[in-house]
Amino acid sequence: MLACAGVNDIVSAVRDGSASAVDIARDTLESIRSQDSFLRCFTDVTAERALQEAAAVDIMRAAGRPLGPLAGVPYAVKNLFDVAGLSTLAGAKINAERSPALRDAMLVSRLKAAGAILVGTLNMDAYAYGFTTENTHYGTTRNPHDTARLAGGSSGGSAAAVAAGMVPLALGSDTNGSIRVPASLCGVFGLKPTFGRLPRTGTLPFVASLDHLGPFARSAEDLALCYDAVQGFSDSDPGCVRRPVEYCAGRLDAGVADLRIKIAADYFEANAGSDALEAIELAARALNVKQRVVIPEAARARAAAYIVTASEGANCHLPDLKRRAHDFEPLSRDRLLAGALVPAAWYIQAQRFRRWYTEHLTALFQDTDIILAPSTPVSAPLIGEDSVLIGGKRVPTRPNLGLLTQPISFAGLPVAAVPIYRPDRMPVGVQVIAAPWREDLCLRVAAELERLGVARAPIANL
Amino acid sequence: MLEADGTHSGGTRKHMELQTLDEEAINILARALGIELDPEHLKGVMQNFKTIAAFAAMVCEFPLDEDIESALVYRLCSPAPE
Repeated sequence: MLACAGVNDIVSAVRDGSASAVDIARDTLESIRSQDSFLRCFTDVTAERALQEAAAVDIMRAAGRPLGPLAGVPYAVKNLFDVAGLSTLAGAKINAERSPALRDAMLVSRLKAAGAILVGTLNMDAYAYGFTTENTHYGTTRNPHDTARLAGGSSGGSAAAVAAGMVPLALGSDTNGSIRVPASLCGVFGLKPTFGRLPRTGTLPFVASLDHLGPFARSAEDLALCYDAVQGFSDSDPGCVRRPVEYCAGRLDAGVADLRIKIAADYFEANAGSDALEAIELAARALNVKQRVVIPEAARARAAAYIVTASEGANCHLPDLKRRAHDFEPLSRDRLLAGALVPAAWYIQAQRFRRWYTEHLTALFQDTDIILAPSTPVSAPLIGEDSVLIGGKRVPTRPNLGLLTQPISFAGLPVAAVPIYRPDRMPVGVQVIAAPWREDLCLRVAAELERLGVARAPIANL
Repeated sequence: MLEADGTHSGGTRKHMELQTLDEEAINILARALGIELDPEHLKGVMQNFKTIAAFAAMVCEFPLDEDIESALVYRLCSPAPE
């Protein structure tokens, strides 16, 4: 079924007329209908819109007009993206009372312009404050590779929908690891671009200083094609940096012989469980990488990220925290209330430390092109498993799933989250980290790991 | 990493604030912001605030030169969406 195919197969079929975009959209909607009541990836299915967008693609083809690079490709978005006509839930019961969005988020508009077909919005941790997509109001998203296990979060619906084969592409957001953590647990590719690369216009903010948007896919090429389609500066987001569009999809086959690749040592090894260490070992062996590098003050960077997150995250919701704290997600309400009380001195010191840390971390790239680190300390925990074993110690699951992603996003570096394939085992991901603005290198290494057979994102057998 | 009691094992010491912080102090802080904490939320808020305080201790004990400025992003932008 083409609905389960990769991007290039779908686009080729639509272009040469061997399949219609409407038929692909119908198949996709049927796949969602048959699987999602159990997996809980979707919070809204935009069937009418999908069929209209698909029909428009078919009409353009019939008229001989040029088709976009993602013509007929179904996708879905985390429900913090504005979608015209839907309330932007951001995983929160409170937001269901909001008026429907009047227009699409900027990245949704760009995907539409590229010919992609929006089929729905996806589940997440409330207000993106979590790593598990356990949502008291909208349900827990299940991991398609083992439905007794967590999908990860906060973009859990996005990762799980791609892993289940319901869509080939999805968009999510990553503040502290919310693309990389679910990509790791669900065994799919994810890209967290450089902070400031993609405009966040029309998405509900969580932590403006740290919020990134990015795609999920089942191959490095699909990931790059989606990323290319959404690139471009916009001054409507004050965090967006004026950079030229730097296309990546056509540059994936350059290999890695010219790249100086190292393994993140120290903090990233000490806080990795056996699955994560095995994933790094598999990736490093395939790439013939032995050299290690210490990222300075990684634990402190995580601490500072925690403070910035708590403070800014709470500030976004202060009026509702004052008026109706009872209506917040119980799993994050007390954290938000505590975050509202953070003294300015702690917050400012964390932001000043971020300056120091970013300068020292980016300096490492003077003699390094890529750093490899595990995406998560463990593979997917069971739903309801309150603690996990890391470094011989049992620690709470929820806050520690982002242990290895937070120090990287705190500096805003680009990262491809690459699923390491281990037959008959749960997937676990590796972060491929590059210097600022070098998403092309992250994606090249991801493609090379895929070519070598180490990275794979097969559709889950449900 | 975060321990089961909500503290952080990477910190080298705990701030005085952690030892003296009590429910009254949390309520005073909350009221200053106009938040009236429900008694059933207080324990959880307190535990989370202690976690943040432990992380803050790690950050605040790190010496920074006075010329290290905040990493905040602020740029004037046009009001019109794309």
